[in-house]
Amino acid sequence: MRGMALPWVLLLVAPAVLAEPAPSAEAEVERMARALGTLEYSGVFVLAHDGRLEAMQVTRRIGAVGPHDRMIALTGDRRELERSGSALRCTTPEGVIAVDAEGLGGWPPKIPAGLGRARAHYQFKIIGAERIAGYDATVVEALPQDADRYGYRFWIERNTGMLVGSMLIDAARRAVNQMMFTQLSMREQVAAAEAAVRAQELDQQQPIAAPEGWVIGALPAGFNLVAISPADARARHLVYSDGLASVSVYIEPGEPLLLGPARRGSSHAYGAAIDGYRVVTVGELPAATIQRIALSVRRNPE
Amino acid sequence: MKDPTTPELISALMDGELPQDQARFALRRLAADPDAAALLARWHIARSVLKRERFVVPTAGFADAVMRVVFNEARPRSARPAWIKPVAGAAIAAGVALVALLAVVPPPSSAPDGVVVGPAVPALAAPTGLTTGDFRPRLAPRPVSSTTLSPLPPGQADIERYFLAHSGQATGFARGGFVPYVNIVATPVQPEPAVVPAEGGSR
Repeated sequence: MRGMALPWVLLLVAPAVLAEPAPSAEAEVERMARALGTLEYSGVFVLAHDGRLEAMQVTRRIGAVGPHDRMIALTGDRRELERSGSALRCTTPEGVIAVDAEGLGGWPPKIPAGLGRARAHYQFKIIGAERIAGYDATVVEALPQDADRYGYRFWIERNTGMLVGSMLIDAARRAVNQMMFTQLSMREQVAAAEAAVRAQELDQQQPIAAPEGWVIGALPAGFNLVAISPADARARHLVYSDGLASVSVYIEPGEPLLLGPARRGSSHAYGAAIDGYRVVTVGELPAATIQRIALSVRRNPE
Repeated sequence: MKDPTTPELISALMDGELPQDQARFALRRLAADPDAAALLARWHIARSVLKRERFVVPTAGFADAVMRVVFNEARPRSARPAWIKPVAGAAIAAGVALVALLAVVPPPSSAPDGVVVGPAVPALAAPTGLTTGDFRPRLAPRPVSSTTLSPLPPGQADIERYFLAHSGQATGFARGGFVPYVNIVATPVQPEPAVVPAEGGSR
């Protein structure tokens, strides 16, 4: 009798054993990072911030030289951003601003295969499922372990991993901004993804040497140097990231162009003058963190 | 043949379906019947409104002139080409409408040419000074800082360039793709009050 019962028990538990485990919250965020870097998409989304609603249209195409992105504000002043390869161009009512990101990276995207150091500084959790712009999405929350960075809530499309909605959360668990697609179409650019994507653990990269002559003392835990302008560049542009958030530190000789704080939506900047150099930090981090990083930049006495 | 009722007669007149002699007879009958003339006028005005046509309020002498042209009594029938009949029918309908309007709408003081344009069909409301910004919901008032905000710094283009360059780099990380562009496009650079650090300037 006992011998007959065992096969039945195995039959009952087998489906549970053989079934694929539900994806973890971290795995969902990794899918999201990969989708943002490799998908082609076109859509309209709304952004709620500072008590206002903005609508924007975005298009991304991926070519041999990298992404071709276009984002247009559909409400308020006519503002438009266009990226082709490493060239960025922003058109505003005040004029046109152009930069070239060549030499610092950005393409191909450094998609973290395991979220690297982010796991140690954020608590990831799947909190539910919702429908956004007609797509079923998994809702993932990533809350920081400290007040030096923002928390996030991501709405991740089930099939492609595309980010269809997001929320930035401050230390008091209040929404700093919210974004949600109202219309979205996507296409997986397989050829470009295979040719261009370098998925790698951020903490397994060859370590990038800190810039000679400078020390940045107040970086939040988990922020490592992930990109740096060429050593012969007169102006240094350093990029630090914890896997989810990133901050740029600019160190340039000359009189300061910005003294004190400035912001652009949820992105903050701080300018300081240090030993004849102008230091500017920019990132989507709390204003206090951005300010602290800028004021901690010091000439290396060695 | 049964005599047509007044509404049937008016309908045929308005559609230009009556032969000339019958149309002439109908006009005389309408002229003697103010109620019928008023009905014709109301139908004509209603049709003009539905078609969004401007209608002309003529002076008294204008209707007579139209009638003379429409009926064209001096022209021999044999000389008229075949297409004249439907055209004449339509002209009669127009003339009938003018006569009817005279009966119910007193002509305003006339211009030298004898025709005064009446009130235009209502057009779309004139544009106001409202903009889409007035309808954007103010979900919550931005708190007024008790400290004085620093004025916008000089060299704003250079500052914008810092934000733009950072967004270009940030697209290559986990929250990449279009996400770093959002703040660039959504908002201009704004001044902010300095944050007093809780402890010194560096760790």
